Amino acid sequence: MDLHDSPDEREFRVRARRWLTQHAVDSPDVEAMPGSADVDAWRTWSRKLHTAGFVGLTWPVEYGGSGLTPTFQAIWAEEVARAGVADHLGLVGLGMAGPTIIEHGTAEQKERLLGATLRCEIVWCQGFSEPGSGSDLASVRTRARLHGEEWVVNGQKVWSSWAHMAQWCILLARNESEAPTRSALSVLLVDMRTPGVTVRPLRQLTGDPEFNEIFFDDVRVPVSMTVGDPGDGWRVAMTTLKHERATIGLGLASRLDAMVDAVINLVNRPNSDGVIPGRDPSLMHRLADIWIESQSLRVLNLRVVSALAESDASPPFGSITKLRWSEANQRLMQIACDAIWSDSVVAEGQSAANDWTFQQLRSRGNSIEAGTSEILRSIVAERILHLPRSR
Amino acid sequence: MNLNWSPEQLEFRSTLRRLFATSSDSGVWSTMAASGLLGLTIEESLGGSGAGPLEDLILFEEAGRALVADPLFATVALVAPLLTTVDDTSDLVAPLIAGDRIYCLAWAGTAGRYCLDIAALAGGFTVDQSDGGVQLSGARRLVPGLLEADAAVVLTPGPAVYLVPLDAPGVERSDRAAIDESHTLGDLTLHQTPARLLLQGEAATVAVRSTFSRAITLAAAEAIGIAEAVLALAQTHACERAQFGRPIGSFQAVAHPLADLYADIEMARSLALFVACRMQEGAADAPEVAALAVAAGTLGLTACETAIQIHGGMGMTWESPLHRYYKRARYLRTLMGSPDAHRALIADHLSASPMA
Repeated sequence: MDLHDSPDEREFRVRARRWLTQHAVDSPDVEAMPGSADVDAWRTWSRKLHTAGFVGLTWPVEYGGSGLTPTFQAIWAEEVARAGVADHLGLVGLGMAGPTIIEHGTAEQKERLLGATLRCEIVWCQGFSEPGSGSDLASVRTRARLHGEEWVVNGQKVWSSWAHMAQWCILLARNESEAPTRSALSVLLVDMRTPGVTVRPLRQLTGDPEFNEIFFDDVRVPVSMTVGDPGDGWRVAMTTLKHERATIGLGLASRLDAMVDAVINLVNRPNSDGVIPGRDPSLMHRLADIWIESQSLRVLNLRVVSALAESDASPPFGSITKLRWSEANQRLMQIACDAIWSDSVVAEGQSAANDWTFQQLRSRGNSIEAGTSEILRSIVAERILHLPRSR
Repeated sequence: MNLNWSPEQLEFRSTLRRLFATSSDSGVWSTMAASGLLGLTIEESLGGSGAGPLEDLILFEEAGRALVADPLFATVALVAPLLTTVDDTSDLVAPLIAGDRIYCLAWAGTAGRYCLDIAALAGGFTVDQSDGGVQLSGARRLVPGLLEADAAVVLTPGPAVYLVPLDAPGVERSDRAAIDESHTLGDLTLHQTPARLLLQGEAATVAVRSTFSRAITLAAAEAIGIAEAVLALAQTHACERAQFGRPIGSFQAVAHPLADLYADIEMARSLALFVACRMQEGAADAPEVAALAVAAGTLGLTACETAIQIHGGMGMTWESPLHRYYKRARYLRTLMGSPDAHRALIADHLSASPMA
């Protein structure tokens, strides 16, 4: 075992750090959420990242990627967090839709969509969850009826981040007239400009319209835009979710590290009440526990990318990253709100400290998005501990 | 970077697991000596195997899993690193490696602290110099491995490190019946007992600090081994025990605590690997060791408590092995030191961090 970068990794890290230091001023506001971000600035920034060669690090070279191991993606995530800049706008495309197309897509789909995704000409959204299908994803009811060379899609998707700015959607739909089982599902790639697609923003409890509802009303999708075979959608969707959790995992440890540093700075300064929160030993003990958790997650992450460098299969312990990150981040945000104390009840825009209140409110979504903590625990219990399937 | 086990390390782990699974409690010591395990990390020039902190981690994780009885921890984790720091101790190290001589460590504990904390060196034994010799007087409660030991390594304020043969005049030992029956505890009293000086001054401080850091890491490894062992028992039970017409492991109220336990194990293991890698490069920082002590000290107990709960009434019986793991976990936690004290150390470190 060796904690240090190999010569190649070191060279990449130095190059990334130097580039990020030089260009950090061009980055859009890193704290801005998808609902309120300056999309044009973010798109411009994403293109700069692509031109500099930092986008699609793990994608195969033949599809415009760099063909590197996930270790390099983890280094990139560390350096982005360290520099305090925004990453590429198209995370759904780079981390989920793209890898799914690479694994299951047709030559035409790859040619048309992959390069444009890297260049941020296409931003993707994910059309998986529905009002009636959250954790029980296999029960989706959005219908795709085959009509000649086209699917006709009707239904409603929900919790789709980025949908208001997305050009394409990776959609999970049920083939009409088949029994409600997993084998009747298909994954379709839908151009969001197609007539019948309506996006409606949903306001979150933070006040931000970060995610959206998408309505499909007789939307016609060419059969050539099916990923994998019709009816094979469950397997394809599982590829997407596998990549979703892996992509998220790589960045999470670095994000938590950066947040812990920010909270350390916060508690060591007087708050608006004139109190230095870090003088309270019990608050510092809570913070120490999160620091321990972030140290563990960082090393766990290195274990995951080390394993992926040797084998394509993600190691079992990789499945706990998101679970532990979400709960640690939620506790960290509680500490931050306790640190700013009176300011934690002040609405956005009223106080310099209110970002923490926003972040704390937003953090409640961490244990729901991309697999609830309950579902993640069941996955560990069934797939790693081999306990009998629960209902 | 690479945090994968090497093929040799994986092989070492399975060899150990087989060895511990097939050894009797009474035979395990001579088996370990014959396999060169007692000198695993002692340098080859002193007759050891010259392995590193990662192999050490594997050894103690497997020892914890198999509840290998002391004096493994007392002799190999607590004393060997001190002896090998000293010049010209081959007369002491060779019999340790061969399993012919058992050592224990008596460190001061007058402040009531039992843990491996260098601050605890402030009291304890007193040193008299006369007739060209050194005599130690004083007492130390609850010395692990004292009853089996042939010699004690004694830490005195200063600090200094002495060797006391336990058949020397003025030595009193009494049995203190440990709750964990797989190891012994005894009270040691010395009255003007002749002793041999091994280390003093800065060299002693450095050696004791690194020995304690290392021992905390190995205690943590044992706790991780224990947690894995009881998780395996609970998994089996949850699959086999049926109530309401189905295996209890199919109930999320049973399955989810086990999933959390799995996550706790992998998080603590990550810290243990990190600290061992840092030691491989030189030394781990105090907050890094403290983080591991909190994680593993908590893990050992909560793992056993979860497993006892999942086993229901069976978990409360003497017949079940769970209580033995539980009691060992308690012992390891006291050795590693109170999680709150370690959190306080980390908190100091965080408060002192430079502002961004």
